[in-house]
Amino acid sequence: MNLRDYKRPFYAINQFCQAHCEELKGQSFRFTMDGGYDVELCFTGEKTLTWRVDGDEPREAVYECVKGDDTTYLVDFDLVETLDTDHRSNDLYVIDLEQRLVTRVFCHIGYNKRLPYLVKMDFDFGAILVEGKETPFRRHCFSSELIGTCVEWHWNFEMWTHHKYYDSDYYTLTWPEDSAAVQNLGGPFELLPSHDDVTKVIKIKDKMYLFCLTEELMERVLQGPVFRSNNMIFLQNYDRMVHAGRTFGTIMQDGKPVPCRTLFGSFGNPIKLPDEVLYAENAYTV
Amino acid sequence: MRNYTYTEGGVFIANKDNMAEQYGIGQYRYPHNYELVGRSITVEAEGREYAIEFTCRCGASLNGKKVECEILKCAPGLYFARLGFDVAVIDLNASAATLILEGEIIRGVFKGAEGAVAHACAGDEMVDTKVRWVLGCGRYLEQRFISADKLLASWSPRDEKRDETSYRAVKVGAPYFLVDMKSDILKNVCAPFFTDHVILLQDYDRCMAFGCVFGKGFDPIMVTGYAKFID
Repeated sequence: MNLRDYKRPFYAINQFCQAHCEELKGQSFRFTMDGGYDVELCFTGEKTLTWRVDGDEPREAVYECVKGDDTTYLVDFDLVETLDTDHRSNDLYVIDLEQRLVTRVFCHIGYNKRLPYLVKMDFDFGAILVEGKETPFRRHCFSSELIGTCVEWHWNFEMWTHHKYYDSDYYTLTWPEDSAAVQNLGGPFELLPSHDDVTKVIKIKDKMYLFCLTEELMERVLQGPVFRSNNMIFLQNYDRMVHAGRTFGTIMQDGKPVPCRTLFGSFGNPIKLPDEVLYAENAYTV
Repeated sequence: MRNYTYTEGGVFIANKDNMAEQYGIGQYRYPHNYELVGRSITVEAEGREYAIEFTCRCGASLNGKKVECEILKCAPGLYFARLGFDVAVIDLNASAATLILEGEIIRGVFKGAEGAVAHACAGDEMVDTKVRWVLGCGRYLEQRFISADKLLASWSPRDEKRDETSYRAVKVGAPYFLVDMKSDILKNVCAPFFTDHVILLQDYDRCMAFGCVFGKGFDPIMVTGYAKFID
């Protein structure tokens, strides 16, 4: 049998996702955050954890975990009490055991009355407290170091896209004609003046960055039946040119907005983009 | 650390995109997985027992002999482990394991696992499959399965140099095939010159492969890659 024809489900960006990592099971962490509070994460099972802030009652969650390298973990979970509400919230931690540092990205929906599906990101940085060891003073940090980088990301065996990181706060998304992205993404995007959107970049360590984007600008222009939005967070490893991450937000299914949270992964290649893309203006900014 | 250099004409910013040449065909290898650390597994096959103990993050013992160990997690409950110059595919879901010890394929089940069934020989199930495993930027292995024990293999960038070589395959549950391919000496390709053995656990659902490349004169190279179907 030609195994190309193996009956597999439809994969979009999640085909090359790492298998969920269960290594943290049984471990507990205490983070001191620069926002002025402590967080405790206890990994109680292969997929369950409890979390609490500043001695509050611990709350349970179902988490997913992928790795950026051998000692860097991306842990993601929805806040259970917000599921099935119009203000869903998601907590994401990058736990860096090598440097004993942590980054928290808290995403929530429903804060914008006019655009109720818009996802907002809040960031906090901190350190992992270990008894008997000095608490690190360095932190993961916002960074402009990705500027100038262009990468072709392979999401599944027939879809790849191009990212251009030209600004700390914006990036450009394009794709070549031979990619399934033409079918999967193409239609609505073709109506846009450009494929730029809002980003934040955090440096985790040398050659590793947390690239965070929210689908916002293009949605404002598309003005579909419902304004929807996704937040995507990529733990990018430029040592090996791979990334792992998750998306959180809302997608349209049969014309209705439905909650979305998916892990993804991708393999990268350097790419030389044409000048008209490299030097294109961001149509959404002055 | 700043990523720019002041020049007379302005500032030069170095890109982060790169070919990761330092890793060769091991570039896309997924992070090591340590979930099996501390675990002991005894595999029974054809009346013999094989004891594996994962003692630490990079070490194990195989039948009492200490060996270097690297593990990749391929799917929930499914691991590809390099034990020195040998290989173990540990399938916790089926309580089964396939070992490749000194070139011999051993298909067994965990000791005491009632009703567990060993992985099956793949036979000719892979025939007609033509796939490119991309292991790094511009580094790939093409495999065209032409019979139950022969395939045509080529490495980038010499796509035209297809060598007929022998392989053995084990079916590790529905979409997973463990393929053990012999290799002749390779010249001017992305794989090392003295490569003689490529073992890949190929997942045709997620279209990814996890494995190891062995040969003389270099340390085994753990690899991860994604599939591009050639036809």
